[in-house]
Amino acid sequence: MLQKKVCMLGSFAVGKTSLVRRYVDSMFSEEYTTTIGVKVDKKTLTVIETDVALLLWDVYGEDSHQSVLPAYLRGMAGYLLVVDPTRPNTFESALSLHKLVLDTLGPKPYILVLNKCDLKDQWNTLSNSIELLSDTAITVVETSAKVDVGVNEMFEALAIALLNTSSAASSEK
Amino acid sequence: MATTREDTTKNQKSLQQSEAGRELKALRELLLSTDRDRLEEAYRRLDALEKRLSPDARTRETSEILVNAMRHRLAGDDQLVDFLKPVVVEQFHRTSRDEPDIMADALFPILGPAIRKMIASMLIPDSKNKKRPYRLDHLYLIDKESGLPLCHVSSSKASTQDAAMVSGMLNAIQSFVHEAFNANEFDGLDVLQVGGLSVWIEWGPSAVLAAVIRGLGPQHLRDEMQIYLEKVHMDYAVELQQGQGDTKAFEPLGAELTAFLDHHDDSLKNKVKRLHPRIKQWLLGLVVVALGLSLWTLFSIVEKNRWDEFLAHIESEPGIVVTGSDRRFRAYRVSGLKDALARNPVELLANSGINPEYVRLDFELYQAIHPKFVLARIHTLLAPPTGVELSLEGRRLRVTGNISEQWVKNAQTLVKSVAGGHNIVVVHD
Repeated sequence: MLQKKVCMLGSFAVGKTSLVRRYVDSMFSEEYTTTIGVKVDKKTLTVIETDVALLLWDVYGEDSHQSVLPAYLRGMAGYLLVVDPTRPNTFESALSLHKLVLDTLGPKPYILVLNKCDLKDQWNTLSNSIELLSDTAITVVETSAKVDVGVNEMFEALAIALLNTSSAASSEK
Repeated sequence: MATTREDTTKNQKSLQQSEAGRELKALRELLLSTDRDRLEEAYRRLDALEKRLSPDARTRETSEILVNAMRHRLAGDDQLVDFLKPVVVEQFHRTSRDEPDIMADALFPILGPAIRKMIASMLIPDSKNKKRPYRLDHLYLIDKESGLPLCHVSSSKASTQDAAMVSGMLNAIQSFVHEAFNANEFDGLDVLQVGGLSVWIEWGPSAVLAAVIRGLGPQHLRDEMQIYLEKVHMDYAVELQQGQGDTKAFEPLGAELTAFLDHHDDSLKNKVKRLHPRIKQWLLGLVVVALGLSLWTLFSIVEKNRWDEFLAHIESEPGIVVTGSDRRFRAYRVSGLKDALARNPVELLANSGINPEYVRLDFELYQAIHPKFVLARIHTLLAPPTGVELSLEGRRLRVTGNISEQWVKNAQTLVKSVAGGHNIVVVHD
């Protein structure tokens, strides 16, 4: 079986843990508890007739007091860059994290995740960062961990992208 | 007309020029033919030389002779070695200074054995080498960069956790400690301990070996982990470098890791497995002999019990007196006295479970004075008519039925001749 390390990156309280909980355990809780350090979960899926095990590293959210340790990013095959469009400053954090990845590992496949689409009437997507992030992303996905929208599709899209990247890398060798 | 004349003049001139040209050419041929050939040859050679002197051609030619030239030189003397030595040393220094990771990766498989040899030669063996109980529950081989598990085995007695999550968390903890406390980049987390459970971790340049130990692990276990990890780096260098997350290439390690695990399992089953084959054969032989002896003993006990039971039975039988008995393997003997009217001992043997072929019965006839036999003999002797019954009560022979007094008197006389009947009194009711 193919195994891929995938990191959940984003500012605090954008819904990274909720997305993982929804995907892995099909659960959602309104209660917010901040993630300390990193939590590792695993989900196995089949895409393009290949079994893939996604090791989901749910990294604590970046804020003004703490930034993500680059060491957590080492060895990752791809990442989900999660933003909360109801809080425009989360786009800036996402851009900062994206740059951290580029500086640490170079370009890696990622999906820009616009979470909390159940609150779309409160979204503010006027930030320039969203354009910068969308340009290089595999795709942009609107999700809601609360009402289970787009979550499975998001992970499947990332898994397919990672498989294609693996195949391309194997061919070059 | 003028035009025609001009044309004619022109034609004539041109013809003259052509003629002159041809004559010149012929003259040139005559004068320069030899030199021209030589000149053309010279140009050809020059072109060839230019091609040969081009950088690509020179590189190709030199590469074809370089290896042989060096080999030839090395076979002759050490001048080439002396010449190359400072170059190699300088490059070694530069690489160690500018790219220490490359040096560390290259030296890793051989550094460990060299250091261990040195330490072993310096250390005095520990005289207090007490064996402490421990058990290896899990072994994880983990990709160092990503924390993905490459191979995992666990003891049958251990609870199983998802290897990917365990190895991922170990990697995360290591990353956290490194970054949070500015640990040296070459140092790795060595031990995690909770009560009697510990996780020992050995770090290599591309892979990590983690062992979950229950109990107190001995130092030689860590040495063996190091040795094994070095071997993995040597044998799987290419696969570890590729790091695409495909575990298929590492599947053969499952058997090796399982053997490693079993080797450190202190259960009786594995202790026996680790014994020398000759010792195992001896043990097996001893077990077989012990089993055989046990079966023989059991058989003997059963046989004895049957024989004792038979003897007790036969001794309690009226009209039989046992005077002697003997029991050997498949050779039983009973001797004694038996009344002709007593039950045949062979009948008793049939129900004992003892094979009658192995039993010898030596009985001499005698007359028992058991009341049962006395009455039987009296009955035979007196032959009472129909309707007359005889019964023996102690020393009184009771005659019931229609019989004459004369018969009773005769009976009284005859009874005294029967064994055991000398003091019997005949009474007629």
